Amino acid sequence: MSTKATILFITAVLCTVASIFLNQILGPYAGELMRIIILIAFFITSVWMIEIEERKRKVSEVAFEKLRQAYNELDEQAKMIVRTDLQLNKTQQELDKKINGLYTLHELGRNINMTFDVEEVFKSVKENFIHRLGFEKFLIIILDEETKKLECKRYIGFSEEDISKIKEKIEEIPHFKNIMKEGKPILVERPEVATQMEKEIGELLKLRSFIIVPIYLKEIIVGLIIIGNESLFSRVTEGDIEIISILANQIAQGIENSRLYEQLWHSHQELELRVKERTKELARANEELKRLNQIKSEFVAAVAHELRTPLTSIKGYASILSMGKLGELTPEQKERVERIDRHSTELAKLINDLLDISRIESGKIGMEIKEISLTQLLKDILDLINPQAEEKNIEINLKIKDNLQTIFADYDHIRRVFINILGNAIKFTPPKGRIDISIYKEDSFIRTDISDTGIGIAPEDLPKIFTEFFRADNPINREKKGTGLGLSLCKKIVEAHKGKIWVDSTLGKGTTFSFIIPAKPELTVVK
Amino acid sequence: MSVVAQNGRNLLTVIFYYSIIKKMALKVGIGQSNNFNSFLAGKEAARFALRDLKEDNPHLAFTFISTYYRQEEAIEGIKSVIGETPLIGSSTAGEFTSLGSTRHSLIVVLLKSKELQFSLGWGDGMNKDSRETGHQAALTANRNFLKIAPQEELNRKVFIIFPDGLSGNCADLLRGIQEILGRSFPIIGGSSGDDFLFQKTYQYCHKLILSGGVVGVLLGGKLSFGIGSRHGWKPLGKPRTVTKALGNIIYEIDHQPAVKIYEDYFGPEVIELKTEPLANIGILYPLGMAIPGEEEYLLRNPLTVTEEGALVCGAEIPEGEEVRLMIGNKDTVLEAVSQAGLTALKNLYGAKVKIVIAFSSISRNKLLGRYKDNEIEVLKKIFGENVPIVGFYSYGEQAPLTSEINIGQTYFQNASFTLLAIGE
Repeated sequence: MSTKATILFITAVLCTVASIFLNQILGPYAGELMRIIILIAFFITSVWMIEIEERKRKVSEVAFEKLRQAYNELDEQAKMIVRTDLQLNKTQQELDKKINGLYTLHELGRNINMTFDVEEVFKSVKENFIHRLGFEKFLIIILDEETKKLECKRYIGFSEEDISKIKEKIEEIPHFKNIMKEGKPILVERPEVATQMEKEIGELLKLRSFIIVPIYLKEIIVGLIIIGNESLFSRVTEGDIEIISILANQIAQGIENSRLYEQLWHSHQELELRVKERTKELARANEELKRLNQIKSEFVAAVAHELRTPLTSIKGYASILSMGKLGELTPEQKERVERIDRHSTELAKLINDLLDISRIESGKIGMEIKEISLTQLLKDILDLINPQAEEKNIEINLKIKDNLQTIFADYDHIRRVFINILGNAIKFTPPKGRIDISIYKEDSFIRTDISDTGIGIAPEDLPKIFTEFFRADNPINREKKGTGLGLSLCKKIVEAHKGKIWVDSTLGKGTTFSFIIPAKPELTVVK
Repeated sequence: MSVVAQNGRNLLTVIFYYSIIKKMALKVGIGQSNNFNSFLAGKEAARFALRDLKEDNPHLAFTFISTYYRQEEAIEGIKSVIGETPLIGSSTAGEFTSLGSTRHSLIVVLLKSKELQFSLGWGDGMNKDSRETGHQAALTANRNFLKIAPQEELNRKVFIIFPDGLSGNCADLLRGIQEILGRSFPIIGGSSGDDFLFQKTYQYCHKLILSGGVVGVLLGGKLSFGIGSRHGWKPLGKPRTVTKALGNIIYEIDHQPAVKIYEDYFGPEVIELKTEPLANIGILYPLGMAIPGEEEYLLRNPLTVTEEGALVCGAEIPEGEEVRLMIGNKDTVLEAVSQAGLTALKNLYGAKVKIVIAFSSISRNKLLGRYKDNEIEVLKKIFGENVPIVGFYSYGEQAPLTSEINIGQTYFQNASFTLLAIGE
């Protein structure tokens, strides 16, 4: 503006100078007139210039106002930005805390699960875990089941003085038990917003910002976890409740596991003890049984032996009598004497069998196991059996597989096994029946199956079939006599061969006796 | 030596020189412990440091101790290993080494070099008269330095200080120190922390454990020092003027209670700032003032708010200063570490870096959260994987704003990453 004024001023001066010249050239009147004209022109120009300036100033004022407005708008935007940023930072902090918390909990969970001791569960919450979760102080209070008193089971970040004071007061103030009754987590972000109760707890525990979470064990609150900070800078937030609840669950799980484990361990111990006792009892009973059996065997052997001598004479005299060497007998007498002879023979057989069983049992008779010809053995057996079979029109089929020529066995004894089983088969098989004998290798054993199409054995009798003096109750047995010792003897013989004997039977269809003896005996037992 | 050389026994000379060079070399040993027992933690960290040093009788020890530990016991633990070795240090709000950041730990750094000249100094009573405290510390350190090296006043290179982070006006303290050592003398430091409790911090000098004081070590000798300091916060919104302030308390901004600046920006969230010391808002969004000729603003975190709405800071913002709200994010603050590191490296003029001592603000710790270790990673990239880095999270930092050639007035800062690289 000043430059323009200068120009105007210079123009005015120039005009005045020019008018003086004009004055001299054109004369005073014309000059004066000219000067007036110039002054008027100058005046008009000035007014015009001032108007332009005014207009310019107005424009710039508007621009300035606009600028200020934009500036204020920018500041408003800044407010929005800064609020969003704060929110973002808070979210980020919360997220950091959670991620960190979950990592820590994961590790902590592993530690808790590693122990089965309740005290160890509490101890496994280590100081550095609590620090990593972002807390300084940690306290587990558990309600003792027996004393019904609250106990500080684990504390971190408290001095000994603090904790002894807390232990004193813990029963005095009702707050903890009230919280346990309520069962809801408590969050105190800062002391200003705390209730009276929360303030008192905060003062007792020297915490300004804290969380209390109940520990649920099977729907029952057994204790509380209190965690927090004295420093408000790292204060607890709502999100922490979640993390600490998980921690409470983990601890509860740990307690539960430990308790279960303890129970299991106790019952296991108890069971083991009982098994031991029972085993001892059984062993004692078994010893007793063995002893009794021994006595029985000895008794039977002695009695049998003592019986045999008089029996031999009875039999001898009976046969002498029946042969009429001591005078002809009346037919009645003869019939009676013959019956004495027959019964004596049966009795002798019975006594022999008994003797054999007791001898085998007591090991007085050893098996004389050697390689024997299978064909010879079977021929020998069938020669004896065939007449009886033919009498009842029973077909006997013999199958020897695996190209078996010889077996290792005691010839006489194994023969008795065959004869006994086959004798029974014929006895219990109705006429026109059929008996199959098959002998084959099975693993390291020779197996013999003798099947008949007889009347079969009742299932309830099957387990008792090899017992001494057992006789199944059936019409045939009722009619025909037997000692009840045959199968028992067979069992003893097979077992003495280190083999096994068993029976399968279906009532009304038939019975299969099977026995196995080793294909090659490890040791040949010589008498 | 020269006699030997003239006699032509050159090989011996070389060996002799070599052994001198070897003796000269600065040895550094660092140890850290997080033992729960205070005494054992001190002992353990000192032992580790001594083992790392691979030599006996260290010349100088630094220690950074979490307030989680009982201070006397921790110092006793360290002393039980290093004996009478001069010790200086500070309590922390978290510590870090090349391995990463920690809380509740104790770090011991041992230095040994014939070329290292140093003296310790301390002052107390920051709450009464911060400037006087500064005088006291600088005077004792300076006097002690002249005792050990009477002819070498010019060899003083840097003054490392650890002032209380919660008392007095730290800018005043710096002025006190500068009045003794010179306005452009390089001063670097970190204000002691107390694990975010904001109650009481500690400074250690020899056997002394101070609170509300400052300790410092004046370093010199034929070593190189590189300083760097940056924060990475940027101004946001329109500038406002401080209209009433006294010392470190700002009463009014634009003729309104100072806290209104935060009310304006944050709305109802500001309750946090009003009710808690060092709330999130104050830490993450400091106030900044422009310093003529400087790239970055000088930051101030409001620590507390008084009832009448005045902001109490760690140091002053004078009346008439224009202030702005500052904002930072992870990228900008990490970039600042990189710039600070590069500046320090440049200032070493090619000397081999032996150790980096750094002070990172708790604001950065808070802002970076899970990513706080990235600061250390950035430094590793600049100085190399094997250069030991130690430091702690501080309640304030002291460093020259522009650290070109280590010249520039040292200011009290907030939210910065400040480091000292010692090379040879």
